Amino acid sequence: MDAKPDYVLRTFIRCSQDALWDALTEADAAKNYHPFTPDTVRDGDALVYKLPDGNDMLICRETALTPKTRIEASFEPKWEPGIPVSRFVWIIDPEGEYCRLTLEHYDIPEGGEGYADGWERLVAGLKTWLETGDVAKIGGMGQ
Amino acid sequence: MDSVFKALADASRRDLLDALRQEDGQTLSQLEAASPLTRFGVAKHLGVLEAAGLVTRVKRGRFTHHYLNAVPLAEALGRWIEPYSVAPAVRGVLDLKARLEGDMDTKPDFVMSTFIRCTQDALWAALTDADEMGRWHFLASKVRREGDAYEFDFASGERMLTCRTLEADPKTRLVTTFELHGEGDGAPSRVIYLIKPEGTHCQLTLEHYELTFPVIPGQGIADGWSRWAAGLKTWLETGEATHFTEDALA
Repeated sequence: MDAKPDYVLRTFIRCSQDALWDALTEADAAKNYHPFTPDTVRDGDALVYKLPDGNDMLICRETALTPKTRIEASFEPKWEPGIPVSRFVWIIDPEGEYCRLTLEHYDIPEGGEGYADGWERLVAGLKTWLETGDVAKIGGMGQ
Repeated sequence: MDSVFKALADASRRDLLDALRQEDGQTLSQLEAASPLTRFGVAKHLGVLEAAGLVTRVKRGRFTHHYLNAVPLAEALGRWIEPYSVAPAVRGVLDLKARLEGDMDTKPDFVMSTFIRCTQDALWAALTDADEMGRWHFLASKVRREGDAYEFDFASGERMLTCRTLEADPKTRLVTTFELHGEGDGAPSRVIYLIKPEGTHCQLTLEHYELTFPVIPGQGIADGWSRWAAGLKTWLETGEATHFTEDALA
């Protein structure tokens, strides 16, 4: 992972490191903040994000984990056939009463310009959910 | 003159000139780091730009620095623009000229977007009410309004930042200057805040233009804006005043 990320997003969330780790690794947590999926299941190393019709939307396979601190994963879109696989990293740094969360996305293929919007919605929903306890699926007009 | 147009006809080479406009005097390694091209590719394109007189090389010790030289560009514009105004190379020149002059349509140096669960009114108030800003701002402990300017002060009372309102379209769009105080903070730049309501949320997009230093993801100004947005969102959604100040600065 020494290449330059194509996209970097950072936020600060008032929560414990454990809560943030669980939110990013437990399949059940995603339904509270993921903008586009009603259901997420774990399949071994992978989190499988489902479409409303039950088909797979996205598979994120964890390739390296440092507990509570770092998650490296593949990003395998299934919403359309033939989209190349890319990879991303979550980095959690506790800073006093809150955590700094950094996302780095590498190898974004051509046509992946919309990934940024998706991440912004997901991370905004994640922060709202962790800080207020309210479900926050910021999925655009269909929310 | 041909060599100028040839040099400008390539998007990668125009990007290199842009990189030098942002920070003049960069080394090959610096330019390579900010470019999708390989080191060999960057060196090759720099050679073409140098041959056209658009880039000047200065060797200092172990490093060679590259400087933008706009003189051939101005000459080319004067002599060639009329007859060739539709040729792609000239379009390249026009694009570049607009970018060199900091045209309003240029790409922002930094863009960030977030989604906040609040009304458009509440978001506008949080962005324009000095007292309220002091509650959630990550770095300033006091914000004062002076005429059309907001003065952001550190806890020590020292001035940190001045933002002068340039345009205000209530609840939708705000344009301000961004004038950091202190050494090495560069020339004034410009920030546009855009508010777009979306159901129970507002999308807030921030565009920072005319920065005189390069933006490194996750550091410096990019890190500052992330902290800024996190404090604003927490304030509006929970009512809690949280200053997401870097530990070292707290």
